[in-house]
Amino acid sequence: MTLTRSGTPARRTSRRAGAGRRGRSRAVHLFVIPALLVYGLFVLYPVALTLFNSFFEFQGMQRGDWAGLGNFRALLTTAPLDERVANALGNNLQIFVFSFVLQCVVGFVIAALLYQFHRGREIFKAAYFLPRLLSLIVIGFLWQIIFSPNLGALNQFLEGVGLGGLAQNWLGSPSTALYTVIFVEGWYRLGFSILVFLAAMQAIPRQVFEAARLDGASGIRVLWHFMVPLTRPAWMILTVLTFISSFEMFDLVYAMQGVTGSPFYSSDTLALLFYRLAFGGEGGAAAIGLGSALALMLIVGMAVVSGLMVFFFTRKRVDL
Amino acid sequence: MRTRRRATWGAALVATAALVLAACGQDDAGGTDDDDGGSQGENTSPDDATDPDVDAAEFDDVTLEVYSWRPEDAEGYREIFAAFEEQYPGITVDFSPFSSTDYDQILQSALQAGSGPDIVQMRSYARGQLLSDQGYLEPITGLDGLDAIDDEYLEAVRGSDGEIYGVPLALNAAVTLYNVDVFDEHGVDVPTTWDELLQAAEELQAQGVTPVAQAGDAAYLLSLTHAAVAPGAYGPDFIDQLRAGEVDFTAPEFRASVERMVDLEPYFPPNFVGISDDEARGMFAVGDAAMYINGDYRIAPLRELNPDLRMGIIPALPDTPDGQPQVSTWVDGAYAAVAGSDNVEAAERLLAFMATHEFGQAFAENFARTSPVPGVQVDDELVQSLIDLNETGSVPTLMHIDLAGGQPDTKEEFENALQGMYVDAIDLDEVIATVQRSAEAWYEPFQR
Repeated sequence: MTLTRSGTPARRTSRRAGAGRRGRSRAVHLFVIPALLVYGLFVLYPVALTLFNSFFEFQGMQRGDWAGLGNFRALLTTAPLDERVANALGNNLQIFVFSFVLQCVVGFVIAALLYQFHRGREIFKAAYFLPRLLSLIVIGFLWQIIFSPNLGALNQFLEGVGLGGLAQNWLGSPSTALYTVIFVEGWYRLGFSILVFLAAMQAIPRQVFEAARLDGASGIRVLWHFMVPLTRPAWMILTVLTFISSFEMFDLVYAMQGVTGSPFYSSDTLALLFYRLAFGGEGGAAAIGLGSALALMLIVGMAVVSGLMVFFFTRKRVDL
Repeated sequence: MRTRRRATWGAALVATAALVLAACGQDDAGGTDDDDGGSQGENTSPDDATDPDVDAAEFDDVTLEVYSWRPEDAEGYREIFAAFEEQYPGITVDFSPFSSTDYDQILQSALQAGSGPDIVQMRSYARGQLLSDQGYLEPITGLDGLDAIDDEYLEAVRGSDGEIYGVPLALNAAVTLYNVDVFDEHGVDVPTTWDELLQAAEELQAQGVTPVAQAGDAAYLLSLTHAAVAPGAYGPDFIDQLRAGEVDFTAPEFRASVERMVDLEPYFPPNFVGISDDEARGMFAVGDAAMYINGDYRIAPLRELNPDLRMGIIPALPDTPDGQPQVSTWVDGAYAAVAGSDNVEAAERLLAFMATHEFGQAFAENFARTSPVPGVQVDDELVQSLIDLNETGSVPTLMHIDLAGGQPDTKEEFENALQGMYVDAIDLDEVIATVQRSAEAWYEPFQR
């Protein structure tokens, strides 16, 4: 009886406390609403609008007749649009491949060196990260001046040290323009990759490397067989981010090469092409329907490939 | 758990549907509900608006907001509009300039929101027509002073319904500027035929001077150069024939005009495709280069760079001495009244003022530009020489007037193809084929 008498109020109290906790936990969800509203307004709404617009013809900003898949068909089959899309896609792929090498591979090697050698590490970390503090547009204009063929610092320097033969029309030649832009993009983003890799390396227990060395593993073997697999999450993040930044590349190439990706579309990208279509090029008329269709293809393509990359990297886990 | 998940998905679906519906619910006419082509304007014809019987005193405390893409002209406009405000003491003009590159987006947003200006600076030709066709602008056909302006210039502001929507503001001309002192110093005569120009360039180059300060990093600079030299090769008859659909871009006249671009290449600075117009302008301003090809609107910036710079204008030169020198011109924008404005009548008074000789004269003097209003004379010898050229040998700039704004934009295709030719990506035949293919897709005379 005692137990019953004393147990019942205790259970009631406990039930009331549980209900209160549940109520509070439900109330917590309300705090998400402002963020959801902002997300809905600035992310979901534009995406939905883009999806919607891509199926219509446009006269300036004025939505016209239903076009069905006409805008997508025009982008992929009508000259010169199909050539521009193919050219820009090819350039975006090159940007990704070379940016991966510059930002991920070189970033990983530099991070490994900084991990190994403590002296001056903080200074180097800050130095590599410094470009990230500037706007990409500012960086684009600064490097444009440096790469200027006749008065630019780079060619002047090369001529000054007797290497005038290496001087190039860096941004004015189709054979070098795209790679020059990729170099600047890599220079800008390298510091971030280094920081991410370094943090991943520092999270690995030192005993792993000590055991490997005791077993006689060389530095290269330690790097390849221990550091690369054990920093897999960092590789995943940086590869996906590099892919996304490569395919949405706009501001830097716009600042350095103009809205058409000069010379003769050699540094054109899908984002530049979208801009020209949606807002009109140099005096051209805006074609919002075509631009929206291209933006939609870009969003879907990037989402699918990013998803595949995450799947590839998470398929195999390395646990200590 | 399942119920809660279903509820979450339900909420997400409702939110998405609401967003899509909101998107669908946007005014498809691209304007606001009361933006029906100008209800204000329907009550007031331009003739009424400029009726001398209507007293200036009828306007009481009206502020006209004027949008422009020329922040650098703000001070000059304040002076000019002060004269208008003296005539109409009840009207105040508020000049609101925006950056040229952002202007179109800002203007479209303001017009769509219906909360924008009373008068807007509108782009000329196809891009301006987009605004008038959407019903944002008030038709002003019959406005006092418009009949004095050349029909060719009024075409720049004509809507697809045949009505006039703006007062043309300025004429642009594509010209070859030459440095008088550099020519004198090197004993080179000012050329009067195309061959003489090439010979002069050869002499200057032999004496270590860059003959032509040409930039090519932005492709539009190349179509501008073509506009400055091409009329000497194809003449006004070719343009008429092209507009009538009797010839196309495979005609020898157009080929000859592109060959002039090939002729000039040896006289451009080394690596010119990689240099910017700022750099080229600097070369010309300090005398490192003898000639500079661009729009006449570069005269004022060049004088800012070097106030002592003495310049002359070389028009598009004929092949033979008996040919007529010509200059490519096009209307660079206009001012138009916004149809949804509460102050349409006052706006039309200001537009009528902008069509007067008084405004044209003040505009030319303040901004060193040429006005489409006839009879304007200025003390500036260089600008006056351009006005004289306009009167004797003005030809429409084909790419800027007829071939910009299509899909694909033929002007843009052409200038990028020229850039491709200069970097050896394509040859002259491919440049011509690119222009022809692009124009065939939409240019109205080729659709007949």
